[in-house]
Amino acid sequence: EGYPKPDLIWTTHLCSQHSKWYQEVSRRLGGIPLYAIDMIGGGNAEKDSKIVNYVSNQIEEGIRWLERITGREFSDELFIKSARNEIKCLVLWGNICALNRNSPAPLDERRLIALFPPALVDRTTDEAVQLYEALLNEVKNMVKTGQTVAPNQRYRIVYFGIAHTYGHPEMARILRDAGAEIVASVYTFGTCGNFRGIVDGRWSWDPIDPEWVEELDLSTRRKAIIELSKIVLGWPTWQGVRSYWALEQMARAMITEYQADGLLLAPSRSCETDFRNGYVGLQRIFKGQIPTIEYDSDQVDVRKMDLPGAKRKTELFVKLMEAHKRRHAR
Amino acid sequence: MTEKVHNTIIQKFRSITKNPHEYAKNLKEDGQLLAGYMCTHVPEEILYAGGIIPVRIISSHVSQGMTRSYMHETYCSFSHDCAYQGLAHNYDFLDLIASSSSCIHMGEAFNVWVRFAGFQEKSFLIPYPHIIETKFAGLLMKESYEAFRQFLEKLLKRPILDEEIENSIKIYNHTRRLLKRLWEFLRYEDSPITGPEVSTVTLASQLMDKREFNQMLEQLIQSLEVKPYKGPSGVRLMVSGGACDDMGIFDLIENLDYRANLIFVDSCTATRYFWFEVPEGRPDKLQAIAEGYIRRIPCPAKDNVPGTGEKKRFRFIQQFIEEFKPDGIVFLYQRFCSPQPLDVVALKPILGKLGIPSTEFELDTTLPITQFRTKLEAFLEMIKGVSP
Repeated sequence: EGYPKPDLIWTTHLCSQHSKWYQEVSRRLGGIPLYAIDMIGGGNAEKDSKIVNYVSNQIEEGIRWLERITGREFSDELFIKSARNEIKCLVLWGNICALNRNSPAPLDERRLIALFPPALVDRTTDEAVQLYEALLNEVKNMVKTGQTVAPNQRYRIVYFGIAHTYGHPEMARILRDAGAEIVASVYTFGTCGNFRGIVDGRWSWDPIDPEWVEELDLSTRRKAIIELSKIVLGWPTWQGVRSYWALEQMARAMITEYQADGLLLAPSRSCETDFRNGYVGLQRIFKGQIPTIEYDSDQVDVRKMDLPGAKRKTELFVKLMEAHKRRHAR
Repeated sequence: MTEKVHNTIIQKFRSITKNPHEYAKNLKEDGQLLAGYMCTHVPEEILYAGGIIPVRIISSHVSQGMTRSYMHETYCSFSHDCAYQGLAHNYDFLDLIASSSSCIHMGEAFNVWVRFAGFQEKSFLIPYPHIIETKFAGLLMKESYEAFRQFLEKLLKRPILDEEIENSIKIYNHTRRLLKRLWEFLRYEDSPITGPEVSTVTLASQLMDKREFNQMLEQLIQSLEVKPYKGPSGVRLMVSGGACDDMGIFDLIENLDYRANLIFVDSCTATRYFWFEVPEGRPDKLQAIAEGYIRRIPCPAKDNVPGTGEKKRFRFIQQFIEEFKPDGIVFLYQRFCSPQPLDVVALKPILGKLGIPSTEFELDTTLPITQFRTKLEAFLEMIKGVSP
């Protein structure tokens, strides 16, 4: 049956087709009013005042559009409260992910995928903030007591790609059986999580202090919009869409900060943006430095993924990491 | 006499589109600075004002595997081919390259040049809206143009003056008006010039110094105005789609078993390149350029009117259908391009209401001529209501 017919569509536009999906939805449903916000992200976008203003202006105009379409008055009070909650959730999720820099990493990628949906779809609520505050404390405690959901961690993997191990548990199993775990993933970390990002020209996966959110001045609609624009423009997943150097730097920093033994690149053939455009280049750059493997996944039609081939490559990847580790141990 | 003039000029334009490097190298030998650009959203007027000739990077149509280890295989062949031109060092004579944030595929072709083809220090990416119709797009464009101007001024070691930009705007507008006049010949049954010839001239405009181009085109138009009726017309076909610098497909359309005429091409290598003007005489030159570029026929990747989700390009297409009266539409886009076919899905019901049949073709590095011929002829049979 699908979703009930929407009254309006409110979306972003980042890659070449992002908002075009919704144009088609709008057309097929008889012309649903659609407002797409152009998120011209990439690189230092959240620190570039012209881009922050561009996005903020569109959101402000969008609010006036929402009032016209719905016939309802926009509540700044509710907006400011939800903006702070939203920013808080994004920062808390970044802190939770950053705990995986510990060894053993407390969470594996599949657990991270299972834990981030509230931050994706419900991050404006008090309940979501409370959930992630509790989760942060819990994971901190895991680190303190040496607990982990994946006890056998001989190899630590950094992963760039959409969350395919959830749809293909057999891929994750090959790694787990060999004691290899994805401990850091741009998609699960950065789709709804924020980090310090570009600092003095270099990417940092350091988390942002949650107290910083409390200090943010969100006293007016405009101020709240600007902070929201900045935090969203700073998402790691969006950095790589338009900026090869940000993507490259994120990979470099992730490999170092998470003490990776291997780099796994599994772009989705259905996504032409960040997870595809940088991969081939990333492989060229990193393969001489760290065991690196690349295969295509597919989020839209799983039949398009070469599962046997990907499995063989993954097995080879484990062997490469083993050999690399042995050589460096000498 | 006019026939001879016409043929000579067309031949010269054709030769430039076939040997763009040779033409550009000649300019270089004459001491010109040259800038390659990869997307038609780059404000050429600013480059030209700085005394730099903008040259569009087009494909080589060479079957190659080199780019597969730099770009994903499911990027369009046009982007792969343009990336190849950099990796093969075919454009090493350029002084710089520029692009605006364009579609993802061409953006990656630009990245390949910057990262792997030696253009790191002589490249500029202009931050550009991905939705051209937002109320605030113009402001972002203006600010981005200012940064571009500063980059060029540093490179040139001199300021680019407002008067120079104004002059450049006028030259470019003149090109646009001339090209529009040329395309308008195709509105009529007895056009003295063919669609493939007009497409070739338009492609040449993207490779040439505009002053020289304008002179040549003025001569051509003068010769066409007195040129007699060419002969009986065939089925009128309009092409709509993405970048296509392979003139072979247009020649094919006019060389089928059934007589057909190419009468319009809606693409960024044809009318989307020039079907607009930049306001002249404005105090703020960069603002004027931004306003002009916003008025363009939008690229499908950037076309989404806020609030309604309307595709503004469709208004233009309907206008062109009214003016040029095609019997059929050929959708022609690069294989793996996403924005173009997403528009085709929505355009088909509109064409259905207008009673205009359509067909689709995907472009690759080289053209499968025989397949295309068969499909085009079947399409013409459908339009003419005949069986083979």
